Formats: sequence, C-alpha cells, structure tokens
Amino acid sequence: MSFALGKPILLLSAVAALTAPWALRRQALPRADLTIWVFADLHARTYRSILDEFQRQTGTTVRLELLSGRAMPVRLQSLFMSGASGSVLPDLVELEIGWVGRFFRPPLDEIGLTPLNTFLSVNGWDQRIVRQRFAPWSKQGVVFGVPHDVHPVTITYRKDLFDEAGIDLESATTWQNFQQKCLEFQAYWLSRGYAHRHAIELPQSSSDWLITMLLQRGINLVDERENIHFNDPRVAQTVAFYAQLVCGPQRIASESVGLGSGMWVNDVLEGNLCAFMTPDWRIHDLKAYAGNLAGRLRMMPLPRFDPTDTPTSTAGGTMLGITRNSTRKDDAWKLIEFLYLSQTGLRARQQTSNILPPVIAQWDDAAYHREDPYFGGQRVDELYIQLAREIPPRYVTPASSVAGTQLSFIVHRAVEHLKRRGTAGLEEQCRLWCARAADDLRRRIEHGKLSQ
Amino acid sequence: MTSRRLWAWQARFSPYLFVLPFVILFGMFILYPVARSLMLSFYRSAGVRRSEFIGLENYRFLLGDPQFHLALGNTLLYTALFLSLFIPLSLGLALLLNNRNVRLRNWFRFAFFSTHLVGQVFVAVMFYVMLAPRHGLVNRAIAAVFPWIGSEIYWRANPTLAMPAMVLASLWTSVGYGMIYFLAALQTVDRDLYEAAQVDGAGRWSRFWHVTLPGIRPVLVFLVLVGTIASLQLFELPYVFFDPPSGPGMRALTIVMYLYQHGFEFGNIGYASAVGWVLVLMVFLISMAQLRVSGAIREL
Repeated sequence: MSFALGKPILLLSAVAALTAPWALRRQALPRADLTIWVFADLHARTYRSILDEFQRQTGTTVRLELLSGRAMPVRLQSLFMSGASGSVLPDLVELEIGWVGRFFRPPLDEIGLTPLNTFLSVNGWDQRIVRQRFAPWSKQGVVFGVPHDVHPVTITYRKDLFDEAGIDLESATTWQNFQQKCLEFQAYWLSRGYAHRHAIELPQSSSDWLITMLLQRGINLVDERENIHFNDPRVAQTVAFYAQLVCGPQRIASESVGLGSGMWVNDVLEGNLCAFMTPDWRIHDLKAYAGNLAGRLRMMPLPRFDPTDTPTSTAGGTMLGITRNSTRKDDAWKLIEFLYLSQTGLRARQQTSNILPPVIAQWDDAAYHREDPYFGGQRVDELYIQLAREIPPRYVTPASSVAGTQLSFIVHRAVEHLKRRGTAGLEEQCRLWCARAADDLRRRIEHGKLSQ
Repeated sequence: MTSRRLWAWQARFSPYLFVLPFVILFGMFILYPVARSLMLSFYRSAGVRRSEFIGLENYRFLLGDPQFHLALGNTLLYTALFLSLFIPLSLGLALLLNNRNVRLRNWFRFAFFSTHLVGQVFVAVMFYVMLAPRHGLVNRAIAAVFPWIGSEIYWRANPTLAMPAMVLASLWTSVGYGMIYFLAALQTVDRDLYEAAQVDGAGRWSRFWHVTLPGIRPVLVFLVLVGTIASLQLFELPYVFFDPPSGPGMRALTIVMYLYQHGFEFGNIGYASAVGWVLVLMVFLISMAQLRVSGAIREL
C-alpha cells in the first residue's frame, strides 16, 4: 500500500481518526452555581474534602478549579481588565499576598473584586478576625478579601545540633545576640570538619525574610497610602545588619535550595541549615518530608532589634474574595463563611495543615493546645497563638513588589560592599541606597498615577 | 446570472475569498492587538475604564529609567554571550555528527535535538535543581573534580554566576536545534567542491573556510537572526529560575521581564506597551543590521 503524502502523515491521520471520537464524546465539565479558583494544592485538597457538605447544606453546587500560581494572577487580571462576566469568570478567587497588589491599581469602584465590608460587619466577622490581617487585602479602608491565615513567624532550629555545640539558642532575645550564638555554633562545627553547617537559612539574593524583619520593626516599605518608608533610618540599619548575616566574617546564614518543598527540608535534615524562619505554613513541608527529624527540632520567637519590636512578624498570606461581576454574591459569601470561618472548615484545615485560622475564637480549639511530639513535646501552636496577637499589619499596594525588588537590589549592593570594603561605611551607604530607592519608587508611582 | 458571468465573478473574487479567513484572523488576533498596543503606549491606564492620554511621556520615562538601561544591558549581554556560543557549538556538533565514521549518528542526532522539545519552564526547573547548592548535580560534579571549590556554589544567588547559568541553560535547550539546521545545510554542500579543493591542495581548515562556510551561509544567517530575536525576548527562563525573577543584583532583569513587571505586577499596561514597542524597534533594527552585514539582504 502506498500513500502519496508519506508514512508519517498517514500515521498522524490514523491517530487523529482514532482519537477524534473519544475527544468529541468527552463531556464538558458540569456547570455549577459557584466557581472558585484556588492556586494552592493543599487548599484545594482541604476544600474538596468538605464541598459535598456545603452542597448538601445549601443546595448550591460548587466547582473548584486549581490553577498554577504563576498563571492565575495573569488570567484574572486579563478577565478584570476586559470586564468579563458569566461563566468565564470565577465567583470566588483565592489570591496570594505576593501578587494581590496588582489588583488594587484601579480606582476603588473598578477593582475586580467585591467590597466585603458589609458582609463582614453583618455577622460581626470584622471584630472576630485578627484585625491586622485585613491590611493586605484592603484599599482605603475597603476590604476585598477574607484572610485565610495569620502566619506568625518563629524560628525553628535543630536543638540536637545546638545542644551538642553547647549553645542555648532560645536565650538569644536580640538579633545581635542571636548572631553571636550562631557564630559560636558554626565555629564549634567547623572545628569538627563541618564546613557546610550553617546556623540559619537566609538568602543573599532575595529580600523576603528581610521584609519579615522590617515588619517586625513595624516598617512597611510602602504603606496603605503609598507613602514610602525606605528613608526610615531603621531600614538602612536592618539592611546593613542583614548583609552581615549572609556575608562576611560574621556570616551565619546560607541559601536553601528552595523551590521544591522537599529540597529545603533536606538541607535541614542533613544539618546544612540548622535554623530557619518559620511561618506556620512551613510546618507542613517539614513534617511531610522529614519525619525522622521528630523530636530534634524546637521553635522560638524571633529575636528583636529593639525592645519596641515585636517578637514575631508575618510572612505570606492568602485571601478569598468575590469577583465584582459574580451574579451570586450572597451564595459566594456563604461559601467563604463555610470554608474559612466555620467549624467544618476548621476541622478540614487541621487535617491538612498547621496553618492557624484568623478567627480568634477558634484558637481555643483543643487541637491548638496539644503537645507536639514532632517538636519534642513543645506546644508550638500555643506559641503561634501567643505571637499571632502581636503580628504587625502588612500593607500591599501595586508598588509593593517593586519595593521588594529594590530592597533585594540594596541587599545585593550591601553584600558587594561587605566583600570589597568590609563593614566600614556600610550603614551610611545603605542609607544612601535606600534614599535613592525611595526617590526611584516615588518617581514610578507618580508616573503611573492618573491625574484625576 | 449567466454561467459565463458567474465564472467571471468567481475568477475575479475567488482569490480574495480564499485569503479572507486568514485576513479576518490576522486582523483580529494580530493587527488589532498590535494597533491597540501602539495606541495604549500613549496612555496612562488603571483599570478597565480609566486612562488618560499622555503623548510620548511613557517613552520619555522609559528612556530615562536606569532600570530599563540595566535590562537593556543584561539582554544585550545575554544575546552576545548566547550567540557567540550557540553558533559554534551547534556547528561543531553538526560537523561531528555529519561525519560518516561516527557510530550511532542518528541516535546522537536525536539525543541532542530532543532537548529542544521541552519548554523553557521545564528547562528552568531542571537547571534549578541541577545547579542547586550542595545537592545539585553540577555542583556535586564540580566538587568531585575540583574539591577545593566545593559544592556550595550559588548559581542563583551570585550575581557573577547568574548570567552564565542562564546562558548554560539556554544552550542546553538550543544547541540541538541549531545542529539540525546546520546538518541539513551541510548535506546540501556540493561534495565535488570538497574534492576540487582537496585536489588544489586545500587543507581541512581551508576547505571549511572556503567551501563549507559559504555553502551553509544562508542557514548561518537564519540561525543568527532567530537566535538574536529569541534572546531579545528572553523571559520564562529567568522568571522561573530566579527568585526574585530579576535575579541577584538584577542581573537577570531582561527587557521582557521589565515589561512584565511594569505591565502585570505594577499594573501600568500603557507603559508596558511602550516597552514592547521599543523592543519591536530594537529587534527590527538589529535584524536589519545583521542582514545587511551578512549581505543576506541582497538575496531577499
């Protein structure tokens, strides 16, 4: 048999002919009353486990779609900008703190999300949820999302290794003291041939944890009114200090592998990184990928720079909001209450993660007051609860991500300065770079601002 | 209508009817967005309905922005580094696998080309793991061969290593693609020319320089052009590979990344459109310059 166009084309045609009926017979996804977009696999699993119950209770059907965290904000932004409505637009969306700022650029009445102040006040949720956690999801006092979490930050450390080195890390209440103890720890292990044993995980190239430290000092680089705080002298001070944690003779930190959750845990497991900043969402990975670290870890509050600083901070965060063009806002609100604020939602959350809920009354739940064998019997949830009351507000605006990039750049310059000239003049230089960053950011904000 | 008139009508309009579907799609998905983005570049926008005409302000801001200069410098450096390695490596590999004495030639050809079948995001994730400090394959190999260097090499955090890491990852995925083109070109070079050159006493280098290179010149020009355009549009690789995506010390901030940050993170679509148009102009000018220098423009 011969075929004029050649065998490959014949083969492709045959494959197409065979698969076409299957493709044509595939049923479209069933339509649901509500569609919710989430970006975290863990959240998707949690919600899926209780959605049937919501449907039974309310008779409202829900379709949950899990999207990639990189793709979702771009898709959503396109939908909002085109004023889309109907089945292409989800009714509810979960947004992450790192990319929520972009949605707040339009004027209040054109933001693609529904203001939730009325919904929140009717049932008193605005008083029952940690107040500071509304900050990232608000613009000019209008709340666009219900917080999923509080994410207080602690430090988790390898107690076994610190004990062996004779270091009591928890007695360090200031960062300076913490650094000193970590240096002693590293010196001990270096003398035993462990050149790659670093006291703590902190990156040189990214400013994420530095932002956490600044928040601890009550500093948002850009606040809710888009005032810039790069010129606060404590920013330069903290950057100069941070640079010395990650570079130079006083270095106590190293980068983790990052990305894959199992990979940074491996560094902790092998004792390459012996402490790490720990918002509650990190615990899940630790327990999932390093079961054999059980009993060898302990958790402590953050050391402070000044006595006025809080012993914690906040890192990361998620909100659930209702899209402005959703036609079933009341049903959508019921779903928010069910997933985020109800007892059923709480139980589901406890099954899949250690993330503390933002509803203060739920902290009394017995599950948050147990000894945790993974942490050698320490009541880590109690520690989180204690710190959660003190977390600083974190504001997010469209300029926040630019500010973060600029801060990373300043860290890079500080590190280069340390490598070339040591600590001499480091803080003055940091002040200068911060001033330049403030000017640059102001220029960008002004350039993007509409005249009316 | 008589059948003659119908045939005349058909003869006159059928070409237009045939191209009509293409014209409609081209208009909808290419021309309109292009024109709209050009228009947007003269506006400042926020949200669906709010925008204001600002003339050339976006372009003025762009040309005076040090961050854009940095992005431009990084992109051009990446392009230069990438092309200077991509072309020789692809050609070298093609010459090697064009040799009849190499065993399992077809298998090697497929193996080298197969890296091109994966997407940039996959490549970025793979190199993320391969270049990871302490655990990464590359770092472990370096530590095994050069123990004094060790395995703590921070490819993603060290500003000096950021660009080499990107180039390395790009080469891994592109060299096989270039090789295939060169292989096809090498097989079109007239064998008689080699024999004639050999009879005239030309050595290997001389044969390569005077017979092979002129023979594959059109493909060479094509690959340089395509490589340049792709390099100027670099985005996914650093976006996934680095955290923050602009890389340590903003060494991985490319023009498209800068565009993305301003358009999608900062939400200034008008400004991002202006960046896009500057990029278009750059690609056009560089491509024209390359065609002119290579003499290929005369053959167009």
